[in-house]
Amino acid sequence: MGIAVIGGGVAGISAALDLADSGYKVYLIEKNAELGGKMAELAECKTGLSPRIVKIQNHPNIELMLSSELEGLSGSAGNFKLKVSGGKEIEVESVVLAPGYDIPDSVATSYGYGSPDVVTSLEFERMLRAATISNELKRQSDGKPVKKIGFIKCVGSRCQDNEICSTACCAYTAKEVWVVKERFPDIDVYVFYMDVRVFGKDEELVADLKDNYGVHYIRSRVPEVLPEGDKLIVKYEDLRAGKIEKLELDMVVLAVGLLPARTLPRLAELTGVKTDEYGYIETSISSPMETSVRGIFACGTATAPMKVRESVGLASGAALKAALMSQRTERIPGQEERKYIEVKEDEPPKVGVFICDNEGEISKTIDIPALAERVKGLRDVVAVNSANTIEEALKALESGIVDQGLNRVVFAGCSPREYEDIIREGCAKAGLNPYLVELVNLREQCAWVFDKNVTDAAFDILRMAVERAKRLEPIIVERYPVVPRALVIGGGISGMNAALDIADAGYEVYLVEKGEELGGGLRDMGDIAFPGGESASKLLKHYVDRVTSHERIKVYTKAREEDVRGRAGMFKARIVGDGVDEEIEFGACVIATGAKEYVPEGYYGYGSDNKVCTLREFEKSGKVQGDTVVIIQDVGPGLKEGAYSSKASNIEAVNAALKIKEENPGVEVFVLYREVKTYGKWEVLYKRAREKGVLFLRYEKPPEYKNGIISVFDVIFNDEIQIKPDMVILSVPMVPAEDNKRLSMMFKIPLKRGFFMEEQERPKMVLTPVDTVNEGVFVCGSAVYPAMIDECIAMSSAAAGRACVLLAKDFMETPAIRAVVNDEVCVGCGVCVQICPVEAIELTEEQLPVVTFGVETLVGGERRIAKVGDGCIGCGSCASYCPSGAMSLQHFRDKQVYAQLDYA
Amino acid sequence: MKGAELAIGDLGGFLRSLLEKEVVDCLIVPHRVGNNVAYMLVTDPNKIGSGEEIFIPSFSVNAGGLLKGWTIKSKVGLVAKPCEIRAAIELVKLNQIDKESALLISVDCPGTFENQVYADHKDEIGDWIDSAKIEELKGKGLEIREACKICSNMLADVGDIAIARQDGGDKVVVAALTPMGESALNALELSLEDKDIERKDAKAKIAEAAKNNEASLPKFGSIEALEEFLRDCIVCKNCRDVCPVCYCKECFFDQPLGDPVSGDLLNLGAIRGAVGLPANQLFYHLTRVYHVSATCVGCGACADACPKDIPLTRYYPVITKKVQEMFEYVPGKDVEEPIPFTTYEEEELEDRLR
Repeated sequence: MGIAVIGGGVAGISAALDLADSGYKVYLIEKNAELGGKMAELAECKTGLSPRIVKIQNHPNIELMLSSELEGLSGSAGNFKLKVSGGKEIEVESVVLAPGYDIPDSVATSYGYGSPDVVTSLEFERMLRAATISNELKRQSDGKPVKKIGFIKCVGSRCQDNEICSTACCAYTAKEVWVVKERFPDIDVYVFYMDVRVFGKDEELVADLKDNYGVHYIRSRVPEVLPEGDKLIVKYEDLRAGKIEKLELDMVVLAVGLLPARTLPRLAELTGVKTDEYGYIETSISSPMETSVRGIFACGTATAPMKVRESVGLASGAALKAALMSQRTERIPGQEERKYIEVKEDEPPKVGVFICDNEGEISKTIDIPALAERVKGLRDVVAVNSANTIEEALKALESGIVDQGLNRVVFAGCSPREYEDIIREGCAKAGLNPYLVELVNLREQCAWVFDKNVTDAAFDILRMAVERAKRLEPIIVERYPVVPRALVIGGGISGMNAALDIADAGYEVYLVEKGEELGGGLRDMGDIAFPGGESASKLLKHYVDRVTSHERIKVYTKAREEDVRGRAGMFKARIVGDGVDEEIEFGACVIATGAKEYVPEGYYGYGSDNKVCTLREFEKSGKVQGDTVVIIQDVGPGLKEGAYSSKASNIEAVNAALKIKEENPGVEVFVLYREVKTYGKWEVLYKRAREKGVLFLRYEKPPEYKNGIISVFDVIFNDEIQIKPDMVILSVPMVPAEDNKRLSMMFKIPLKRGFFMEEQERPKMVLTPVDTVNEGVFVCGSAVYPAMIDECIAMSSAAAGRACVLLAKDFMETPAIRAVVNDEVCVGCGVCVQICPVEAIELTEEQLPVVTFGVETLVGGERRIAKVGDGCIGCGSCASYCPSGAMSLQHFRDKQVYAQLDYA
Repeated sequence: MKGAELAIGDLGGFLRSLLEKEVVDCLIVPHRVGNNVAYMLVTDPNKIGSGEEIFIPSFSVNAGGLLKGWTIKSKVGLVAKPCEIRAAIELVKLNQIDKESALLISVDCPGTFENQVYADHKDEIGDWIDSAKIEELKGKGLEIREACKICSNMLADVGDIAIARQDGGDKVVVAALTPMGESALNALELSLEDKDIERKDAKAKIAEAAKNNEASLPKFGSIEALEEFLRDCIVCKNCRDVCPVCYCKECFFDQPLGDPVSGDLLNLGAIRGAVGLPANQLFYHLTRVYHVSATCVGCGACADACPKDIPLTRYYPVITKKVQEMFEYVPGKDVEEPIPFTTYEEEELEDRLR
């Protein structure tokens, strides 16, 4: 049997790959003729997504069902029968639903939609893609260059038809604005918004756009757009001046909201899963991937509007949950023994050159037939092939090796960054050592960068590559067994959830908590509950009980990990604590150190005035003092002072305000805020709080608190308001765990503002939300940024899921590209030892004899030689220093690089 | 710092006692040889001269480089000019000398003549020169080496012990700069007192003169000008062999890729159509200046060694000093200070990135 994944957008793709990579049979059902979903329509994102699509197309464990829809589902968890269009029937043990989202069918006429210069954000993505190639952003109406452009947020969300916040629009608008300003710095950009709901890196991006890119962010209710002649007039309410203003623009982009996929109602009907009042698949805060039907899981925008990053996280989590109900039946690719054709050192090179056009992207500027003809004339080149797609090129490559006996390969196409594995794997399958391949980036490094004589440049690059390829040496990599155990650092909600998921998947877990007991931040939240969720205290008890009674989880409290060594699949460390000093081995690690509330010493009399407390302190006690409660948002350091605004604090504050009002209707509750960041379905909290009579006052200048009176200048009433509070609750940022710094050094994962960074900045980061630069080490929860409980649970399941993909393997391979020492030449200066970022090099010493008389001494000195250890990551820092070339990098030997240079 | 004042005539005794009291197992010191002065490794105290020869303004080799590979337990004492001691300290950082086996003693240097020039004019130059004497000799067409003209580190202040010839008179101060230096002086049973050999004003003056002299040197404005400068180079690699901080066991330019011969040479010719010989002339010097960019002490031994009289001082020390200034690094100044390329700073060279 296997697992059905319904929906081939980014969430479905990610879930399918995680499952297939850990040995499960996957049926991927997509209603369109192509994979990629909405993400493939985004300007920047297709490039990032397409490697995953290629991987799926070539994956032995995935049965891809394109242009297919679910037509029926029967049975129950462990044995579902699915009817798929075209009369196909499949049997699976579990199902992952990832139908994605749609945007509204129609946009209100007041936005001027219908004018060719008013476009939706999705339409704008396509224009942006074209503009980055042509280097011009033109109006669709008259082809004139755009000089002034406006972005209007919250179109079709936070409104009557769709009362929740679509979450993604603030960030994707910021990204679009950034692309516009980067590409076309002279274009004036205006952004009309109600609240800017961005977090973490996006918060920095928005600050950067305002401060350094000169983007005008204008707070206003959603404006009207009036086409007048060839201009667009935007009519908006200037909230500060309390006036209606007009602005003339060339183009307007409507940041449209997200709605549940149109296919979702039918899908819900067929599968029986419940949907919520907004039409999304119903899940809960504590089980964000689980639907109302056992064995059926949901991820991505099927459950709520969200960004790509969160979608991918949920997908990994849903994959893990689905896997728990299924049997592993398939082999994991790359785990089989390989036999390669022997290539002797003195054997004449027979080079095959494969040029992949990437569906026309390269032939736009390069004459591929002419290029192929010239390459044929190069010495030792015996075959040249050009193909349209990477799949065709791969087939040609495999048959070239088998049929023509090629012993070196040059593969030219788009960026090899993501395709490298696929191409090397293709060679290996055909029997050629995968390091006898040279990869050439004809797209980014040639087709896209040269203005003229592009084909000549392409020929030069290929000639260089051929010379390098001729000198490549086969590399035999070593395999080592994967230790089927995991280390989870941090015993808060994220750490406990990750530990449980990994343990449920059948692996042993060491759970290390530095505090005295499990629970982390949950312990400070008392009985607080969120709509549709259990109270913090109940959740805490539930998790602690499950963790402590799980036979595969070993809990260490008041302990910490030290002396981490090794690499993905085989790490070693010591757990040191109260009477414990234990050496452990583990294959994967999840870092879930959490965050803690900033102590607002000195703010609003905190610490000396007993009316003043922090949000968590209030949550813990649950006690309301007096008749007037003021909650002040965004107290303490902000972005400029090095802190991120906290998703959790902002929403918790609104939740607290609502709770106080509901339980004490007589109490006046004020929320003083800069932005209300109740993104997604949390918007309901904001709405309900206002309905119940909580007063929201927006400030720009922080309120003052003197002689028991709070004065705040409210920018909406345009007046100073004074409140005499009986209780002041401060909502402060969450700051990173102190231990992060130590862990960052130990695991070699960079920190940003004290939080752990995911693997890459955009665009890759969104696709690997819990992976880090150190393979085998995953991060989640508030260790990455201050997150809400549901996010902590979802992301920790994702981290657990990613860890399990690794733990499912029997073997891992040592890196092929690593440093090697020529002992004869090494003079033992030890600079490489100091340079090595992973401490993988040491100096060995041996005594040299004297060759003279032995009067004073019998030794001629110490001979020191560098030795490269297992930890080498192949970065090449050592080789680039070593003046005599004693240290070199396999696959990047001097002779290989020089050959390439000599033909430049 | 702790130190003692000695009459110049007592210097020989001071050096002898280093051997007699077994502070060191051997001493490398300048020694009169005919009309000239050369380094000698001495184990027998009786072979130590008067002591005054340590100030003789003649440059033969950079003695710091003589200690390459000194990784035995026996202790060597090196008495040499600051640029030589600084080279030794760089070699300590590069693991080529074990610091605990070397007692480094720097002496004030007034500037030096090439050793053959000195030998030819020994009587005119004498055992010690000061700035007046340098001017006087200049009038006679006898100039100190270009490297010394642009050197701003001539006063002894590096190593374990400094020997300062304050005011150029007949008194010297021997001062300890490190614990090893202090315990050496204590072992000699000298009565130590606080001594100040910092000489800030004198140093500033030297630095100023060095700067002006350097500014007056011709510069390379282009790679073509550099090629022209190196035109006569026969790639004999003497400059490398005498360089105290070139420390490879087998130089890249003695390996096949760096020193193509026969078939490799023909292949290179076939790629380029024509290849200049000896091959890799420019490549050799570019590589070498890069390799010594952080550690070059500016001693000018390379210029002295060039059989084609290419004034390499205008190339190696001048260029490397610019790199060193970028990193605020003075090679050999402090044995504890890491060589810049071994450290990583998240923020450095910001102005270069723009």
